[in-house]
Amino acid sequence: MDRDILYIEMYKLFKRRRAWIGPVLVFLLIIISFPLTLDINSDNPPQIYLSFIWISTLLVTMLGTELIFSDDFEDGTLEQYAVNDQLIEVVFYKILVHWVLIGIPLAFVAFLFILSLNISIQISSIALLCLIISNLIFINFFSLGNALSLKKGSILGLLITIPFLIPVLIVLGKMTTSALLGLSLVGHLSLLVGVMILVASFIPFVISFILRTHLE
Amino acid sequence: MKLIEAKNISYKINDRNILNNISFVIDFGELVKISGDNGSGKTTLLKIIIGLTQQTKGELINHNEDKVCFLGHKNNLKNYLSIRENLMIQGLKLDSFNLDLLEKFNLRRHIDNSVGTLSFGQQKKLSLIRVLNSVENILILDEPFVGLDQKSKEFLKDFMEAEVKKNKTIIFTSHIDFKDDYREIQING
Repeated sequence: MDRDILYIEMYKLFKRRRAWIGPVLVFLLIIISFPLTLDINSDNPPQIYLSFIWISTLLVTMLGTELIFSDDFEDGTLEQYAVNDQLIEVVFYKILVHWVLIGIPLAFVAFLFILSLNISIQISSIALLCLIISNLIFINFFSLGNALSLKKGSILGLLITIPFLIPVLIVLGKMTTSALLGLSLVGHLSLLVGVMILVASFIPFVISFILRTHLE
Repeated sequence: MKLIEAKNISYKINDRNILNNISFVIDFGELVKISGDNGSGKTTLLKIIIGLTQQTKGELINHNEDKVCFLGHKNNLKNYLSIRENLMIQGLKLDSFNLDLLEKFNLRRHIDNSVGTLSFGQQKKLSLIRVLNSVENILILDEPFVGLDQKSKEFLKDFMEAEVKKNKTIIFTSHIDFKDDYREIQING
């Protein structure tokens, strides 16, 4: 693996501030405005807030990965990487960089929101861990969607990938219930970690294959 | 020593023949110009040579195992970054060689301006700096002279001829003639 590519990808995304600060700000705006529509002092079960966070992060990571490949595709950078057989590395690093600059900050913003809701620190910490893991899964799938629809606008590919993420949302929902009931989370957490490893090690290869076909 | 052997290469998209039974051999250290009318398949042939596109018929044997320097139609530049940053992400240092190149191309005074503010010709010159710095032994350039002023065209021609004398291989598409020996592959789509 060429670490220069990691540095370059990190630098490129960091300089396109709108691409990574934008989604985080949108997420912040959503979670600030959400309590305004709901009386947070009432006895609303915490599941509502946590489910709202899962769905919001899903949609915001979709927004954050919208330009993941299109910019490099349009200016010929992907072509250059493909010529030297570096597409897989680039895809892997792009996903990693988007996770670091978008996925993880989103998880921490959500964590602060959860803490403010009088949810125990233990459950909040588990939610943070779940968000960090699930955001990597979301970014992988949305990157796949963007790769699929690179020449045709991003909506179609993203719509195709959302159904694949519904099982992840179901697992997150089950985890929330188990955590609030004080049940063991080892099984659910292992499943989530397993899916993350599988997705993060398999999807970049599929994406690089798709990108190569776009470059032909 | 053979670099590329193409035997009866054809390429077809939706029943439209782009390339039709093309055969050639390119040796290491050659300067090769691929010429032909617009739409005759010059870019497609380059893409087949570098392995981005697969021919629909025929055989292409590539004896090269090293990295190649490829400059396509697109300029590999980031509009939201400055010239300095674009050079940096291409792994180029702002040493005296590159500063001289920027001076020669009248880009040095724009070094901290974003590339999006440069003209097409200026962007083309900037993208060529990567080629002029290349350490690879094989350079594949798609229409490298397009958008350049006369002075820059002469500079690039001299560079290419000098590189070939150092035993590098350059394959390019263009309508420009060269002073020294070069080989031409004429294609008619």
